[in-house]
Amino acid sequence: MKCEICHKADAKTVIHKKAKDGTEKELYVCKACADAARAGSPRKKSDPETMVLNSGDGKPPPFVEDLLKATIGFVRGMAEAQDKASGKIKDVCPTCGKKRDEFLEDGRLGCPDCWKAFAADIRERLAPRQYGVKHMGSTPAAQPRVNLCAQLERQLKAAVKKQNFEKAAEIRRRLEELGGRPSRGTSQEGSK
Amino acid sequence: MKPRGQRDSLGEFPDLIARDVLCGGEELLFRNPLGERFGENDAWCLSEEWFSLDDIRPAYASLTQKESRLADKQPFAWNPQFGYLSPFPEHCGTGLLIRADLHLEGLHIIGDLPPVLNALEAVRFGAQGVSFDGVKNAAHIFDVYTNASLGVSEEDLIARAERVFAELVQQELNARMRLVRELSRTFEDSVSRALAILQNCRLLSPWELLDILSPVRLAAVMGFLDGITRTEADQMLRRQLDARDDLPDSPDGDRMRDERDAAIADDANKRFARVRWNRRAKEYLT
Repeated sequence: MKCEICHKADAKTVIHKKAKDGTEKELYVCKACADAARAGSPRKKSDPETMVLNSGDGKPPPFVEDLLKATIGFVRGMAEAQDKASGKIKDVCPTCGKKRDEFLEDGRLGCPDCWKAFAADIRERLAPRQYGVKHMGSTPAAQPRVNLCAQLERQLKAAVKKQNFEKAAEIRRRLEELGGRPSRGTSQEGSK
Repeated sequence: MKPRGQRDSLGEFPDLIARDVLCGGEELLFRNPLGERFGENDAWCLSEEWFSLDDIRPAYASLTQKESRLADKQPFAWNPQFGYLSPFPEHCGTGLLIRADLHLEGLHIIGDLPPVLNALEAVRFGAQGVSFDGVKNAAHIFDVYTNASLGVSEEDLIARAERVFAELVQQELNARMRLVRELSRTFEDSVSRALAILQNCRLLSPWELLDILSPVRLAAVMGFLDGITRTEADQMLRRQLDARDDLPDSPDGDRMRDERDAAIADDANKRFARVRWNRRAKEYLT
């Protein structure tokens, strides 16, 4: 029996082809036509691109695949290096010391500042799973900034009283970020 | 006996197919304090239960009251881009998670469960069944939950949850209707097999029992069985859902497991000895 596609070579194998109406058709074809059909394109003898990029099973030949992987890895590495140099990506959270590698492995963050330090990784991680990468929900209206500063100042005083200077430094930095300034008394106590 | 056409009228079906698909749910709000390191889990997980789709919004209102009481005492970690911050990136944004328990036995029996679960994933919802001891998605009771909370407002998330849960309930009701109208033999087969096992088994693990009880619950909900009510089936299911295998992996543990399974089997034999299809079933099925 002759191949039902090229009508020249002898049919050696069976392939199933989907027709436009969705029905599946059984075709008896030669090996070359079967390979071309599996690769998803009609067989063209004189198509050099197909000959180079297609090893016959629908995938590019291994050396092309390796080359592509290496190129993608290189481009990604360059982009990451650039981001690191510009300070967009940090290897360690400056506040809690959580390492970026640890975050990439366990998916957990150590403190609110990790969100800033690893923002690019978090965005990459969340983008396919969330509705968007920008918060659209409510803002904490119940905590006006003034109250927030007063709250932090109270926490700062308590931390200093307990001689927990590490925590006190963290709170002071947060206060500075919010534009508040630790009260004089606290500041003096903290510097003791 | 009523003529077939009359039996199929929708007016009569609501009580037949029952509305016991949705077994209620919960709303969770994850919050963490500002200026402090995160712990192992979210510092606060505020929760509010709801029992019907109409309760989702009131439950959220009550949740926000709890939240504002807490916010008065302690400001939350928040940033304009990611919203409320958490040790888990998946809990950021609104920090709101809405979940519901749904009994999807009808969809399972007619074989439509996998595409429904895939569709849920596509709309960023998750579904988790109870899988243990080789029994996968036991009882076909699924915990369906919102899987994303960033890039969406609370209002929008609640509306999506309402729509998705309502759609799931409708799909399950349609499946139950199909079971009665077109696939009654399939339905009878699953329930009769379950009853046969419950009446004659010699060893039954808690998770097998959970799985087998599921079609029986469905038949009880539809009022097709004598000797068991929906409430009793629910109580039995709930007891098994909380089952834990804390027995050791040792010959002693195996012996204790066998003793436990034997006791469950004996109980089931006794409890289901008088459970039978009733006249209503004969009227509506085959």
